[in-house]
Amino acid sequence: MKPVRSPLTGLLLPVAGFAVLAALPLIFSDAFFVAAVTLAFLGAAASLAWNLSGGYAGQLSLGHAAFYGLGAYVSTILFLKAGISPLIGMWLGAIVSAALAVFLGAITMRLKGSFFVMSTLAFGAVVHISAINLRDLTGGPSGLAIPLRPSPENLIFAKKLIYTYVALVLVIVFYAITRMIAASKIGYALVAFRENHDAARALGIRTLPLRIGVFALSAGLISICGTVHAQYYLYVDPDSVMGLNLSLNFALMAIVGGLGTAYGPIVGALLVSVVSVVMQAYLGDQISGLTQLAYAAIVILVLLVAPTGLGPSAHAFLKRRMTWLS
Amino acid sequence: MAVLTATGLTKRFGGLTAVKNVSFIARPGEILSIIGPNGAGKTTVFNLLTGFVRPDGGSVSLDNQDFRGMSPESRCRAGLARTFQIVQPFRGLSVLDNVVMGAMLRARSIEMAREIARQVLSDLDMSALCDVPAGQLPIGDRKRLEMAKVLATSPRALLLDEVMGGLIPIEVKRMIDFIRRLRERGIALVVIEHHMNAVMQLSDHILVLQNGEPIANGAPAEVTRDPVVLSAYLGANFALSGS
Ligand SMILES: Nc1ncnc2c1ncn2[C@@H]1O[C@H](COP(=O)(O)OP(=O)(O)OP(=O)(O)O)[C@@H](O)[C@H]1O
Ligand SMILES: [Mg+2]
Repeated sequence: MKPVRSPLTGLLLPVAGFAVLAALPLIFSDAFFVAAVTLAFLGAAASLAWNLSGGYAGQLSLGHAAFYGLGAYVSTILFLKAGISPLIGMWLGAIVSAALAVFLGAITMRLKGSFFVMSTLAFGAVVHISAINLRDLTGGPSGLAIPLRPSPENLIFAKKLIYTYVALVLVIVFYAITRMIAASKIGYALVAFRENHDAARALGIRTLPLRIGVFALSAGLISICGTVHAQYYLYVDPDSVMGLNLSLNFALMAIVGGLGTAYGPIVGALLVSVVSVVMQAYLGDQISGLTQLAYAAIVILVLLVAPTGLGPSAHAFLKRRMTWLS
Repeated sequence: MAVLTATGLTKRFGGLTAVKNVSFIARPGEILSIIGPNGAGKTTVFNLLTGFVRPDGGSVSLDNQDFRGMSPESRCRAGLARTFQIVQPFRGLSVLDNVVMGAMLRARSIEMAREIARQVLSDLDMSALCDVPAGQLPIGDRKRLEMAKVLATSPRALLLDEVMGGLIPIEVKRMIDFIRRLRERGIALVVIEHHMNAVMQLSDHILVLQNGEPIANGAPAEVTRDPVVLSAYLGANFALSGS
């Protein structure tokens, strides 16, 4: 949280960064690469949404896959059973997720630290299991397939590259929302809560309604990512949109890139994606579990070298260098 | 301007009665000092006043507003602020941002809060420290930051818990001057302090606690002559530093 930003880092850097991201799939247009970039962008958007609550307010949630999955299921079910466009369905999914988040938050946000984390884990598991068991609605473990009927109105595109840019738009919009909140009294109040709850209370800062509100916003936004996920794969099943590993990934990307910073989740998502693509390419699936193991090792390594996340640590490093030079 | 009233405050922790039937009135433009040996219950009184701890008996009010059942945040919004004996900075944030957190209460935007915060920091001669991370401050500056944060909320009544602990003599002198200026502004001040010199210089009234119980209450000159106080707590040392 740097109060005074020079216009350069304030706007130019992000614009340049997003321009580079936008150019990536055009420069390397190979289908495998485009797919990897698309997933990285979608992951970045989801992690940005997660970071609003998990990073700024420090309310580490390991249940956000439930909201992501709800976004995927609500829009898909409405599309398949009632012919409602996912462009509308994604908002309905977001509302359902946000409402559920308000309910969950009102119950659990009084819990401290690890108790809150446990409650989100339990919540994620309950929603996941419900999706498996509500066969009539969700198709059970085998999931739901969406027929390939390309049209912008269906949010279905024959050209995969379009999804890449849909995801990038989410990244940019979520980034802008994050920046706006971070610079507002709401953002400051969330950080005050995260840094020192008693000190915040002693200064008259009421955080509970804000924390619940931002949790709901975070749930709603990540739910929209879920809808895009469904339209990209044209397929939804409980494990791939509600699994615990998904929740862990949202958190991990933000943590690796820089928790509670606006760019952290983007940096983290790109890094995590590069690592998993490279792992996949070199280690393949020959020895099962090896990829995950190497992946975990790299994450641990990153956090040992850069405990506040790659972004902030690099920033601090550069700053030290600059003062040393001048 | 506000009058802070405590009536019959009592708090038990298990078998221990940490605060027993404590009453006082703190008036605007006056300084009330609470003194007493370690563990006398002074900080607990502050916790009861600010709502961090629920009393087993008694009540607190600011002007005519009864604080019963109100949260610490609501009490601060009503105009009662406190510092913590063990300072509570937002470690990861800059000094300026720390004070902004307090200034938000009376400011509509972050920009306005920043203006207020700059002013408060300048009042405390801390302008040069604006960009320093709070976690890196030496103890003296941390105590001043603790003051700056609460002052930014524009309190009508202010509770200071050992803001001179750990300060070097020159810093103590500056803090005494500063607290006097707060009194002139018409803030009702309650001060917990072990530093007897400072207590004698600042206080309009002194309340002495021992084992949670008030054993004396009055003007500094009266209290220091009170044989109960002398024998129970202050002893020979005090007679020296008080004269
Ligand atoms: N939350 C708590 N739970 C249990 N006991 C407590 C609690 N807070 C304070 N006490 C006890 O109440 C008594 C009074 O403590 P308090 O901190 O109010 O003393 P104090 O006068 O501020 O002392 P000091 O001068 O050392 O700061 C002590 O015996 C302390 O151990
Ligand atoms: Mg104390």
